Amino acid sequence: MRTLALLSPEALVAIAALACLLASRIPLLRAGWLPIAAAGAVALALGIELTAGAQVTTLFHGGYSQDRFALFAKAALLLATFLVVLGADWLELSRSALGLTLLACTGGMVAASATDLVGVWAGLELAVLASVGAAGLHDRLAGRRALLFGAALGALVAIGMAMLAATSGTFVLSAIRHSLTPPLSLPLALAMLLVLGALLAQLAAAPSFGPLAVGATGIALFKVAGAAAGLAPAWSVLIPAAAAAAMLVAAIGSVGGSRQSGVAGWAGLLQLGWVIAGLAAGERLGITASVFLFGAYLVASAAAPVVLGNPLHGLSGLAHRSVGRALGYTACLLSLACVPPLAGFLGAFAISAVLVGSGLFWLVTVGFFATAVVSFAVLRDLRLVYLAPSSEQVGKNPVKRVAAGAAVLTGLAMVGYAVLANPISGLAAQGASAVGLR
Amino acid sequence: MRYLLGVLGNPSPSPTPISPFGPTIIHSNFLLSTLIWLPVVVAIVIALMPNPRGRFDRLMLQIAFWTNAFLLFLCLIAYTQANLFSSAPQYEENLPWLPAFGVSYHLGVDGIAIPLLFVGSLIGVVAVLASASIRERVREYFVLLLLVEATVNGVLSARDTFVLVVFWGAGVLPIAFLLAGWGGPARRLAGARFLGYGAAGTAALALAVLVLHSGSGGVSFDLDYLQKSILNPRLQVVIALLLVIAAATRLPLFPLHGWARDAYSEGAPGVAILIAGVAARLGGYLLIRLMIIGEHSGSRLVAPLIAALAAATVVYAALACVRTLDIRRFGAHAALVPGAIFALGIAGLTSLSLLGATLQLVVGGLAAGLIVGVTATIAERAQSREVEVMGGLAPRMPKLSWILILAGLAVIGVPGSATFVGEAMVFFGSVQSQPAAVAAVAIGLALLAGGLAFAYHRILFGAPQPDAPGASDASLGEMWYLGLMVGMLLWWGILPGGPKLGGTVPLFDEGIVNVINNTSADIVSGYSPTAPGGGQ
Repeated sequence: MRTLALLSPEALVAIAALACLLASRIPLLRAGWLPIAAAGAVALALGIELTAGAQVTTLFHGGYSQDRFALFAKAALLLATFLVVLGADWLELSRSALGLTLLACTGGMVAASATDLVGVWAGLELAVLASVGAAGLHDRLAGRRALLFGAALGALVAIGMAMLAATSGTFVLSAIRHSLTPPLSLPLALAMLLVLGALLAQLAAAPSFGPLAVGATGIALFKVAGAAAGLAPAWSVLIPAAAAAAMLVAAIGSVGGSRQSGVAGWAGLLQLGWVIAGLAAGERLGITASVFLFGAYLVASAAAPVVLGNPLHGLSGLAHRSVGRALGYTACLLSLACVPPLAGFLGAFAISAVLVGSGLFWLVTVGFFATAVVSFAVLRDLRLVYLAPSSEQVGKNPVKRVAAGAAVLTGLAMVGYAVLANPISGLAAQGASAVGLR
Repeated sequence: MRYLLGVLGNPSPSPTPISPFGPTIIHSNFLLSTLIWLPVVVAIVIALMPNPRGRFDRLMLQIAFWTNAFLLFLCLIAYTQANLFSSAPQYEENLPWLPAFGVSYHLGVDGIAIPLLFVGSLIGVVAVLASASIRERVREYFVLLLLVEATVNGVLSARDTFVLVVFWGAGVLPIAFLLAGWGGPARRLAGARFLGYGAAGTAALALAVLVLHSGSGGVSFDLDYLQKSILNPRLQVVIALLLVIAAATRLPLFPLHGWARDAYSEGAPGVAILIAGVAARLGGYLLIRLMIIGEHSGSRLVAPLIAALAAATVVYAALACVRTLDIRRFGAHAALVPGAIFALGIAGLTSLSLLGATLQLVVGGLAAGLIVGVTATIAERAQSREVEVMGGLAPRMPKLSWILILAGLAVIGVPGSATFVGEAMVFFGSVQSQPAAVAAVAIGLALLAGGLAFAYHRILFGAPQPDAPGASDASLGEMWYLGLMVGMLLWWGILPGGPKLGGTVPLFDEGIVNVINNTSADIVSGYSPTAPGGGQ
């Protein structure tokens, strides 16, 4: 019974995914209630996860682990999926895309509970492929490109993981954690470089892979980083450099990038830089803040494009078309850009405090500079949302009530993440400990 | 009379804590949270209100007005109920927020913050009244206005530096939006500039708080904890310099004043008043709360720099006032002066100058808000901003002419205005420690007085221009919002010790000077001649 309760979130989401994929083939089932039903299933899964998932245990002879990190990651993933499923226009996209989105969530959940490299990789690839597939149904050319890029990165991750297993003599994450100790050998350094580099590249290119691939990739990154925690001193230069690079690229991209994609992607990259910076400190508090911030990043980066709706309509006058969407998008954007008072800022400031304590003052300065620049780009976009007039053509295409409601829920979720920072950060601390990052 | 004395209690000499009006009317543990979150909730309600074809624009203004009026009532209750003769924080709320990082949602106000909250809520009412002419995007305007007020109240109430930084930073974007969305032709530039300076100031403040937190052991962000820790002087100087940068971007002080000219002259009247009257005062509050109270050695070392900035600001403002031919820019430059006088008081680092600076911080906002508001109103009523076009306005707009004269006098600090008391204390308190800066500020003020006289002569009493557009006097609504500020300046100017029954029993107002004087033990304790390193 307990096993059933623990596995029921995964089972619910997987069944909902299969049902949606099948329903897209059966004309009779192509009703408008399908996304609502799918969102209901995800919400139910989230509720079960938050109640039954609180117990720490392992299943399948140690192959499945329910720890605090799994609880934190799956809850964030389910929340993001709920907001995406409820907010997206599935009639305009595709019913198959709905099923694939849920499948991507399942993949992320598998990665979160995996105890070995194979499980992490399998969950990750399931999430990435399903997410790329969903994106490809909307835009085939972009989907094809993402598939090629994702396959290449997936192969690199697989090779790196294989090398890591060969070097340490095991696939099990906890065993790897105990076996890896400095000094860093060349094969091990190469393996880590491949795995972490590919995962970071996948995260950096998050908008191409669809919203939920981000979650699975981040989860995989934390899992592998936790396994290699013993080698942290060896990466003491590379991780801050990667964080600074992500922040600076985000700053440059936000002011010089194309307007079509909006600033959300660049703001997401900035926040990713802060997440990596949290790992750079190599301290319990920094990693806790990093996990906390990653939760906010996961939800905001997944929900932002969905809340925005059809990009063809542009940002101009979004507030006049739908106040709910404008508010939801604003909350996501401000959180991603680490602008006070939302969760993004809380996480980034907490990470800054740890970095200053660790002597990485330069990284904090780079982060603040990049945040200020991205804030400027955010204001530019928000000015369009609220102050630019809406075109008549767009006015004829009213936003659906469910989508508008989902956008408001997204905004509330982002505000709630900041307000409820106390229990969430506590869970993040336990999650960081569970994954081995302290 | 005997009956009244019996009701009010036996007369006793000040500073005995007496709360003659209001005690136990409201006993709430959530007073400060209400001041912060009520505007946010109302803003959300306004944001989600259906408003087909602007049918409920007027209702939105009314909602914003009554919300602010209620906040003013709450602040009045807070002011009268508080134990104003204690420097201990009151109305405290303390909840863990990010406990692992030593962050708590800790709110509390003392005798410095309570008058500022009161003035802030008064300016909030004034700002809404001054926004009656807003016709475009009314919903967005009032949502942003309420959000700015919430963040201002948050900064003033914060007893945790993390919370302070959150509210400080959260205020930048709504203000930039208000500037970019409504006002004169250069409003977008004004918004962008404010965002630039605001972001720089927030970054400087955040860095200062991080250094302070790290230097004190990295245990807690709580102000009470941080103020008890003793840092080495080198670290204190770093913190003080960062705080001066953050404060100078807000007050503003030369050379970080770039946003103010555009914001005050291009912003909608309500927005300009709100920024000049309250939002800009937060820079000064920051210096008192974080630098003066906590970092004594750092304050002493950066005091000459602050004095130089204050002097440069007054001289710059005076010269700019003399040169400008735009009445709104005239008001914008004059509005820089109260902040600079405050900074001079801070640089003086004597008991008298610090008390004067604190008083100037409270009342200076009223003077700055008034000069910005009245020049904006005159520009609207005269249908021109060009001083050259104006001339002989006094007979056509007598009420506005009187208010303009009063505003100018309040900025200079003539007797009868509330700013006089603060300025006198600042000058007398700073003259020994910063004589050169005091001399420069005095020269700047004399220059400004000359500029004011010259400008008033041209604008109010000069020969009318035949081709000037028609001008009309202030409406009843405009008189209300300008009159509120004038009334408060005169009230505190004429009765700085508060009204007293029979010359001894305080009535409903303890007197702003008494409140500041008796609650500022924290501020001056480190700088009295008997304090370690004091009197230097």
